Amino acid sequence: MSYTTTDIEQLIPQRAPIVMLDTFSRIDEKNYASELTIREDNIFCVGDKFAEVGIIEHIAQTAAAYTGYKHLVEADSVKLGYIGDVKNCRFTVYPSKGDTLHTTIRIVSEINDITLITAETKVADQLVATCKMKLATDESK
Amino acid sequence: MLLNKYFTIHSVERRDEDTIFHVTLNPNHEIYRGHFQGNPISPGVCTVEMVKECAQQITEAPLSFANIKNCRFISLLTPASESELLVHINLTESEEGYAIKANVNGQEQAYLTLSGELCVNE
Repeated sequence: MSYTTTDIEQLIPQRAPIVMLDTFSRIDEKNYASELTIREDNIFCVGDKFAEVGIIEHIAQTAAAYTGYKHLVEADSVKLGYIGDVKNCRFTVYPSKGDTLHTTIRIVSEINDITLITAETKVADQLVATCKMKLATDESK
Repeated sequence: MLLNKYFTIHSVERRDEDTIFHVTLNPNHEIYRGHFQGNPISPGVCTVEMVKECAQQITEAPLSFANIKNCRFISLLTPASESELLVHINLTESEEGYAIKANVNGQEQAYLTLSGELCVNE
């Protein structure tokens, strides 16, 4: 079943000014995609340039949207989540205002409330960043 | 981006390749409106950006991360409970520009360890 939403606040607990997703999609059970167009008022913009940590936050929120999507399917509420670690993160191109980030994440493993993902972010066909990330969900909140 | 808005630097200690920045977080920064509503938690990525902006004070040039080999968030940081932090940075020259090893600690807790490389922006 494919699924795409622009109602991001239904999936993640973050709110303006730190929402770094415009869309979230399910590709298949293990692969999910998201997009973010970098607008002038984005909190991670420095002049025309989008900070690298903005890309990391965008990837982390894609993973958060994945856990939010699962909870939504299971008719449960959205939980707070945190980045545990970021590994082997490489930045090859630095995106600018007006660019649209296209991110795909792959769910590598899920053990209790810990999710391990790999991510790839592109602008058009150009690779921007790759990384591995571990995320924790706070099931009590 | 965050310096003098999200955090301020009070004092700096330099020892060869190591620099320690004493910083204070601003609990009233607008990011806490959305992270999270009624439950302010410092975004991990802002701690990483703070490390980079402290490194820029050393290099006196704008920097970007070329890579982050390993970045571990050790405990949750809230601006209300721990506003005074030590940002410890070790910078050495590398192929990309600078190799960085950094950690961020509070009075009793460790919050972040990071290793990677920074390049000077063109």
